[in-house]
Amino acid sequence: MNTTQDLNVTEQSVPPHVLVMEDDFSVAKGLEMVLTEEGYAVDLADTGELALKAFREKRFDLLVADLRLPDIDGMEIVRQVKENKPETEVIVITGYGTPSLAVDAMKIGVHDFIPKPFTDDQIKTAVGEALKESVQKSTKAVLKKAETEEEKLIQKREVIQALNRTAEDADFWHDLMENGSIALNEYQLSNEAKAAIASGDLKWINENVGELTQKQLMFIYKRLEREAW
Amino acid sequence: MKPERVLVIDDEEVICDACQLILSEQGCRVEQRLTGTAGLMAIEQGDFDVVLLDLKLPDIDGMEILKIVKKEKPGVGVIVMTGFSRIAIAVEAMKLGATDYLGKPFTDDELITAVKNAYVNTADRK
Repeated sequence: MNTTQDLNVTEQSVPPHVLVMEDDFSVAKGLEMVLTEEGYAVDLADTGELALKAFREKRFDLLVADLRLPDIDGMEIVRQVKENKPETEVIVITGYGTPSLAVDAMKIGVHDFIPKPFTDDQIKTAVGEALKESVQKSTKAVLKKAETEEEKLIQKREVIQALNRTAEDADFWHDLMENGSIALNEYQLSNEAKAAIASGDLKWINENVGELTQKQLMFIYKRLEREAW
Repeated sequence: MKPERVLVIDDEEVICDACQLILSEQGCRVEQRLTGTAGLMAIEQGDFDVVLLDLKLPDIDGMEILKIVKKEKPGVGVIVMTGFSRIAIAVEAMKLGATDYLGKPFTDDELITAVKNAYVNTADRK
């Protein structure tokens, strides 16, 4: 078992799930044997329709796709998979490859393009690298989500601090009432949040910050009262 | 949408001239360099939208130039050109971040389309 593959199997609680879309029985069974020995969970589909059905029913980390199938152009299946499940990595295997076809495949997001015949080592390396990239992409996505959550928390804290200050600092209250969003420049707030505070948008504040105390609501009520006049 | 500035790096002067002629007619400002070293210097000093890069240069392997450009100036679109077109080379170039791959000889339309697409794709990322 190579290093790349070790990483995939040990870092994930379940083995990566691979779908092999190949109508040549001997190639499909050979791939199933090699990839199963590497520790992957492998499913086979010998038509494009069966591959699409498999994707509707299960989640796959990787599609190993032959391009010449009895029913649908393999590239069309790849395109649909990359459109609907962009997190799925794809390796194309074909006996009829050209540089132009390989470039077209790479442009739609295929990770690798391997001409047939290929060796066990070639496919093992390609699958290991594709799945490693898949793990890296997932990690990045999780980190990005965490950053967004952190940003939300910071903004929530800043909105509360600004509203608390309206009750404690008369000059700030006056500045905010007269000059609007500009008075909030020292706070880490999005333009949307600044506009919500300055205009007394209680709906936005409740949805993004939560319920406010009476002290925090004083400015909002006064702002809305002024708006009504 | 079309690229403003294009750099052609190819040791065959006739290819550089042809690319310059075709792309200039499309409104691009085109410069040409005949070696990898001169090409890298031009990229470092200039502000190119798209680079047309031959893989077989007298001084530096084109694939190395591609790696450097994608590392130092990832917003520049790189179209790889080669007369020794092979699947493995095309795949490697695309993995390294090339926006397109042209096997020589290519037509005027293939060149224009590749340059326009490279510009659109890289402009989206800028």
